[in-house]
Amino acid sequence: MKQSDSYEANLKELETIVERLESEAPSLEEGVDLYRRGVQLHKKLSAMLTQYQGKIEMIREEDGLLKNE
Amino acid sequence: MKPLKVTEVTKYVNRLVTMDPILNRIRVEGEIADFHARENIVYLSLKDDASSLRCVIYLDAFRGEKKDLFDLEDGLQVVADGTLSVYAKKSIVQLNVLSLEVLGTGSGREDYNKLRARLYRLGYFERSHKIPLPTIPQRIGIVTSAAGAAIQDIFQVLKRRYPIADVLVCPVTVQGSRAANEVVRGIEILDEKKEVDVIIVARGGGSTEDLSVFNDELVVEAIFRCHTPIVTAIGHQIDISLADLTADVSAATPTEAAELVVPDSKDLMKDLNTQLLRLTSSIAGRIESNEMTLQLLKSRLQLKSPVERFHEKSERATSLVRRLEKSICLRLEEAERELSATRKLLEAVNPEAWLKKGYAIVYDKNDQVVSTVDGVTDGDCLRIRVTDGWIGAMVKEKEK
Repeated sequence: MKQSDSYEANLKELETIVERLESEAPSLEEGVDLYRRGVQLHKKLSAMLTQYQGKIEMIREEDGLLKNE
Repeated sequence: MKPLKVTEVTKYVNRLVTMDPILNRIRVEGEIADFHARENIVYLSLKDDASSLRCVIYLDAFRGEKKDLFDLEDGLQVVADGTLSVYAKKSIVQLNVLSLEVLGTGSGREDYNKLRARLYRLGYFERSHKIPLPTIPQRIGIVTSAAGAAIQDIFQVLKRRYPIADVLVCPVTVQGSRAANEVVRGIEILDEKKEVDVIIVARGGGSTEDLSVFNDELVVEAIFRCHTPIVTAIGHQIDISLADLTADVSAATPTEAAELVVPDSKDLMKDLNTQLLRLTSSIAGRIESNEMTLQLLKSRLQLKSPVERFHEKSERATSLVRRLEKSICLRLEEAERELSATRKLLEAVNPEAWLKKGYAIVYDKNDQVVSTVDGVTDGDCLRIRVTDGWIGAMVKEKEK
């Protein structure tokens, strides 16, 4: 998983969007765009929580190879 | 009730403490801290995870080997024997130590105590060195035996609570001569090459010997050096290993370690839904306020609309027309009045009226009105106008 596409990075973006929408006063268009992006992120994050299965790797030092279990 | 003097209070408490059959002679186990020795007296505190107890050793009263007292140092685990009393000057309870035993005088225990004291002095166990755990780890490294129950316990927690993270396992031997090196290597690989967010070093229970690898200086140093936060789950909590003390967080069991490392995805989902709720309500509020603004603008616009202005203008025109009509009527009436007056005047000067009264008008042959004697000569034919017709006449004579 890329760092920028991690659960945490996406969650941070969502939090930033929510805070901006709550505190600042962007134009309505910008607000709607932010909202759209926020909903998109929420969907993505929910999917990550429910669907994504992390990989399990076993590291063998002897040959330096990574072996998936 | 009469107020007590401070001294009376401390004396009373001291009496309670010294008369208590348990406190009168107790054995206390703890770690030495704030050790300092004077000529005839040694001060130190005994502490555990939660509390600290002030101790004082009067060399004259001490029953053990007095010179050993000066070998004591902070970080040593000891059992002190003595009586409790209240130090009146500061109203604190202190233990007057009569004898003292450094724990585990066997060689293993002694090594452990020495190493522990040394690491303590080097600051290995200090809070300031602890790295906080990540809230949402992406990659979790595990250093443990591939065969043990620990790894299964950890997998189970991760699967149940947090399916997001990648898990990297460094299988190592946790017993025997190779164990320390393997554990060290495992920590180093995960820390330096695998970009994990947190490392669990785990081992499930066992006898003291089984845990010895986690008291190994090499292992403890590797944990101290590690840049990634480390959670240890070495064994039973009563056997606190030096690895546990050095780690950023130490858990009682592998299961607890896994629970400390990952958030529960159910909680994450709840947080996520809260964010969505906030998002939706803030955009709804924004739309609502925009609608209100729009409504306000609309009504302001209506006030200034051309239709409205047309109405205004047309009303003005109507009133002008009315005023016009009114003034014209007035003028007409006036004109009519003038006219009838004129008519009366005219009637007054009408020659016809004069003719009716018997006056006549004389015209010469050229139809010119004759108004003087000089205008005619004898023999001229004249025409005389009377009220109902003409009379022809001839001039016979004239006189002036």
